Amino acid sequence: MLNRSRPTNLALALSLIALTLAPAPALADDPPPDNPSGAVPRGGSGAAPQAPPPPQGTPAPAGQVTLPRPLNYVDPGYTEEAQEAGIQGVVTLQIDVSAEGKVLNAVVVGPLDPGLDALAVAAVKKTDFSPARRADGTVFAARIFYKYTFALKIEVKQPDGAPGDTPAARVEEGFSGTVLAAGGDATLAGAKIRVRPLAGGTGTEIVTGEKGSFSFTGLPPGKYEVTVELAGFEPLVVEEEVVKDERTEVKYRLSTKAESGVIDVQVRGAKPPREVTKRTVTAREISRIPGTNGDALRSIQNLPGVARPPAILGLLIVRGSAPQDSQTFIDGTPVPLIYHFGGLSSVVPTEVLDKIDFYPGNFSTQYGRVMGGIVDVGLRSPKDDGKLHGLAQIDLIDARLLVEKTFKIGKYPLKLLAAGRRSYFDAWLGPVLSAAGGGVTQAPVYYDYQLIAETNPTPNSSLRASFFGSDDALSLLLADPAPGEPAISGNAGLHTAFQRVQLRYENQYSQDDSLNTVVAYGHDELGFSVGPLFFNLDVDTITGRLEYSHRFSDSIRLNTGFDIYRGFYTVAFRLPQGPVPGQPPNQPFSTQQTRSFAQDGEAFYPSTYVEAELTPVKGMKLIPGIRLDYYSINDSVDVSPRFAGRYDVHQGFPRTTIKGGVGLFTQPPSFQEITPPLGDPSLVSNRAIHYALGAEQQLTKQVEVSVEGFYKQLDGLVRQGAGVTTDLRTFENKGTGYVVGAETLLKYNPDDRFFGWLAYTLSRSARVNNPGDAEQLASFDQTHILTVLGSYKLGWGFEFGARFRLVSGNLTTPTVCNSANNQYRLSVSPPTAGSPPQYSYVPVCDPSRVNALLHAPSGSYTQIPFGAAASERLPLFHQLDLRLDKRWQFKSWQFSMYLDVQNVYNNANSEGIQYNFNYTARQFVSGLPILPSIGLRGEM
Amino acid sequence: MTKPRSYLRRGVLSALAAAALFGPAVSSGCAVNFSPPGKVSTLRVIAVTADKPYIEPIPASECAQDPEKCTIHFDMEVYDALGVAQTGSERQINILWIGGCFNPEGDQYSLCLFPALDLFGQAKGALDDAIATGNPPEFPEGLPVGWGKKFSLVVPDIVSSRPPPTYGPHYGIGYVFFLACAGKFGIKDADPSAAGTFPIGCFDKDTGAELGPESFVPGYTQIYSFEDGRQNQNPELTDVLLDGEPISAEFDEIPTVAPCDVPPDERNQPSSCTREDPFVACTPLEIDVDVPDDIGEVDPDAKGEDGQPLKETVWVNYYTDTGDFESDIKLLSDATTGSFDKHSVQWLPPAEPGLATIWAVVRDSRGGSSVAVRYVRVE
Repeated sequence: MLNRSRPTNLALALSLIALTLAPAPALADDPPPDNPSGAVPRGGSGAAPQAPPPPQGTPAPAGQVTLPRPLNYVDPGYTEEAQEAGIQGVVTLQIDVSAEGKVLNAVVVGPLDPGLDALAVAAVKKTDFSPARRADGTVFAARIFYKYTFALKIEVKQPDGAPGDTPAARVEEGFSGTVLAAGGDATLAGAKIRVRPLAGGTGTEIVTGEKGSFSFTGLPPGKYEVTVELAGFEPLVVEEEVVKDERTEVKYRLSTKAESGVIDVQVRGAKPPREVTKRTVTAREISRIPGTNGDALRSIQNLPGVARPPAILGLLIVRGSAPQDSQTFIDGTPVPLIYHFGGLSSVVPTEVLDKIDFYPGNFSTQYGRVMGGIVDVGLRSPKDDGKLHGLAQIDLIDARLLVEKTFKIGKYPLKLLAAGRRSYFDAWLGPVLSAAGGGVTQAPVYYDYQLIAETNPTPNSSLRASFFGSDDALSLLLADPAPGEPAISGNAGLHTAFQRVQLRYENQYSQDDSLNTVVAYGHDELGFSVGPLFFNLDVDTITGRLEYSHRFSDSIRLNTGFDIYRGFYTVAFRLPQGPVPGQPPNQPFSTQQTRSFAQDGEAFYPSTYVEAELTPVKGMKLIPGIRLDYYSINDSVDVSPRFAGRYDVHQGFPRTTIKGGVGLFTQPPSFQEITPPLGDPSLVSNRAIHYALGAEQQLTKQVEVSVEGFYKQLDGLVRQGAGVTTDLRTFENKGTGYVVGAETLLKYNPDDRFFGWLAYTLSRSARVNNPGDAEQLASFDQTHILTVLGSYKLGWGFEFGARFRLVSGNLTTPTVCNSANNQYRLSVSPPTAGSPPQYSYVPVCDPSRVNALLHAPSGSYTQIPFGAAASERLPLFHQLDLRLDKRWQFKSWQFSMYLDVQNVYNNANSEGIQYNFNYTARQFVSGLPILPSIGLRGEM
Repeated sequence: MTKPRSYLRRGVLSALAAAALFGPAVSSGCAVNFSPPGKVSTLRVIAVTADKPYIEPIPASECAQDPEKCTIHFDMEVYDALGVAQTGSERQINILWIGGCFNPEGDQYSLCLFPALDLFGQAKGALDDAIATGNPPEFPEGLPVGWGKKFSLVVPDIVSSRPPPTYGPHYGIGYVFFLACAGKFGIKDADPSAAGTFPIGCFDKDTGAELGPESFVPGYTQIYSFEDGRQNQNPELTDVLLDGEPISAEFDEIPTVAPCDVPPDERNQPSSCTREDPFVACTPLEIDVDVPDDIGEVDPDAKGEDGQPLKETVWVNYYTDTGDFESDIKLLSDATTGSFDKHSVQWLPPAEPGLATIWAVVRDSRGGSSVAVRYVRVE
């Protein structure tokens, strides 16, 4: 008999992670518990899944990832035709096991005989499984391989491999098995197998054959330490026991070091099972997308529905919504920032991410207070193999370090992770800016940090305390005032920061009940100053979310929860009042009469929600829900009903799914809009109704396409009133608008060599500021957004990727007519006596037009806009980015570097319009020129 | 003399810094192809100064007794470089002032365009006569319009008629439009909307063709009056310096400098990252202003983040009709740290001999300004 002890190497755990989360399905060939020998369980003929099972119902050991395991055995039977034909062999199935352990889908990937294939599918669908569990004990859905071996008579199961790749003909004393690559069926030849008696003595070693098999003969009974090594793979060390008169059969799966070093981060269109749209981008994709420097959150910008942000602005523009209409969370706690300076990088490095849930619209009732999209970033658990792990990376912008280790405190694991990142370009940028006349007193610096301590009170629960934050600071001395804003000069500074202390508890009490809760205390700072102007905002927040989920039956699950935000703010500023809507700029902003203001206050936003997951028929999921939000700041309540649904029209391969949703989403007015004396406390929430309808279609095993149309109806939008008062602006809930569009994703899911996709979004985002006003495009409207990208492993550690983007230009408000693209309009002279009307074409651009007035007190010019706000679209944006990665693998660590070249053909993309001092001439401002960057990384 | 600063070096370093700062998307900053504001090559209004940047609110009855107490005198510095370049002398520049608009809604100057157009209509006849005859116009009595480089406007109490603001000082505001035109004035758009057009145009007095911005400069200036009667003095400008020495205001004593051989067409090439730097090829001269150390007055409303009193911001604009400035604007005093020691700029003389005009206009952020005009002879 085989007694297998717990692996002493993290490789096994990692291999399991790779097995379950890697795009290629994993092989989990456990037999049923009542058939531990793997032999056919009845006389005559029969079939059985392979490999030994674990004890029935065994929970996942704490800190270890486990795959679904069968809890019962269903005899598939044998067709008469197959018996008569003498057909026997293996049927390999690919099955999807839900988080509840149910087989959702079964596809024959290794056929044997049509009749036997059908029997195998039918049998496995009646089989119950224990769900897959993560290291922290939480369950998750998994895709695994499952095999049935059909044989015509009782016999001992053939091993997959035997000495010399010859199947064993009989049971004999010894130790043999097969070495495979994690994540598939690929056998590994040339792997070194070394066995060493634990009782002492010399060991012996052999190398696997062409089919990955090996066999030791003549080993004395006893316990052995077995080491499996192969270049490019994580070594595996396990204990095995050889029992007298018995043969020990094993299978070892090795994970590649590349895989083990990659954090598997999933970006989803919506979090299952409450989604309308689900998209998954793996860590390999995130880390290899050209033009993002491996930054996970920047990779979101390549997904359908996400617009290209304006230059130097780290904004997230989702489905035509304004950036402030979307909210970012870290582990369920809202944070005010998503990117450091200008979108250089995310406030959370990719290395500490577990997943990114991205909801472009029609999101669950668990989220609220915004009407755009949601990004929820999950921090990962520290590695729990007891070893010290570390990572160091530098590139042109920043350097980062990460260390993690798990300790044992009694019977509980204590998993610790500390990570930090600091930009260091201040070391060389400061002198550069000073030399260029910038007068830098503090060059731009950003840093972020993450501290995580986690334990598992029970195998099914996890408790985590986290402390994370981000800080960006910049200080300049502007000795040369800007000609257009001469009073913006002197000392200038910018500082943004946030910190969060977070406590999270998750418990999967049973397959029917789960509790997830997170509470956090936070502090946000936003401040800037230039000359006499300043703005400072400090906010202390207490946020919390508690969700309880209960499954009443296979077809009904109910999720209910609370979501609370409490904020205590202090704001002080000295600023000009700003322009009046519909009026041209009055004078340089910095020379306007300023207003000083200081105020303390608080806001309390409690919410509750309930959501049902209904499965009336197999393959259909309906999710009705409702959310109630209370806002203390204007003493109002919003009720937001929502509904989403999916239906697998064809559940087998190729899967066809239709999906849709409709829901109400509200967003409270911003601080300055609603807080007296600046704003009007009688304002109510902005409102949006999201509609979505789409379909998903599998084309091949690797390729799938999804298409989704969406419509957002906006009303009650807070806008500055048409009336103007002398010293205060008025706000009203009179704005309306809509966003309509369609997005499609044609994706090649990652395989061993390649991944890539084509994403295209067609949309229109328009607003009407006040009733009766003309409709105008929203300033962030982008009609066409096309992204094509792919990455290919060349071998020898090289990987090459490319990304091409073709996006409509951003909108701008012109002051000077674009004479280079002049147009003509029809001019009609009124008829005179005896003369008909005269028609002529005159140029739209009037060279004598007064584009600006001299503002004598400042010596600068005040522009008179040529057209309406956001009435000119900049030229089409297109850019090609390339990336080359190289990895070197060493015994205990690996080193990698990349070259990422943005804008390879140096296209002069227009990011804005620049005018001369008196607005008599204009030219486009070109964006990023060709920009190569390199990065180095070592990890152990 | 300080070491010449390189345009090339600045361009490269600025581009590098910008690229590093804003890596994902950034302007390269190497393609600017505009004439700098300090280079005067067309009709330009260099400055409009008011003797009382802040005027005390005085009741109309007192103004009637002593109008000078309530009168603001405006003075315009204007130069027609295009006329000089074309004919050797300035063209006839007609200057029109239109005042009388106080406390428009939202303090928006654009809401004064309708009243200004109405006043223009009332003055149009006199204007046409003046331009036709060459004599000063005779405007209807009491019309707040003016003619020529100087203009005086009676501003009575404009504060009390306006409700106090919710926060901040109680003040009143007025706007005065000025138009400098190398032709005759006419109505261009009789229906100026709140945004989008300026209603008065400038037309060739012979052909009637509309003249563009090289021959027509419209603008406006602001009048502030505070309930507490606070004042703002125009910043003091003592002298303009050339390489540290005052440039004499007496024409007979103006300094003579050597020309720079870099021809104008090479200087005017786009400031690309690759063009040769003329400030390396020639030795630039240092232009500076002599101003008192305490040039920045305390702004009574301005308090810093910690409640500390702040000063007004003061800067200097340099202009020239020939040659090239390396930089044409410099900070003299900022809100928090006060006076700056270094505010000189480098000036590259022209390639051709002649007379160069250099203007220095010191401005503060509260509407005060002072002007100095100096000449330099180029060998």
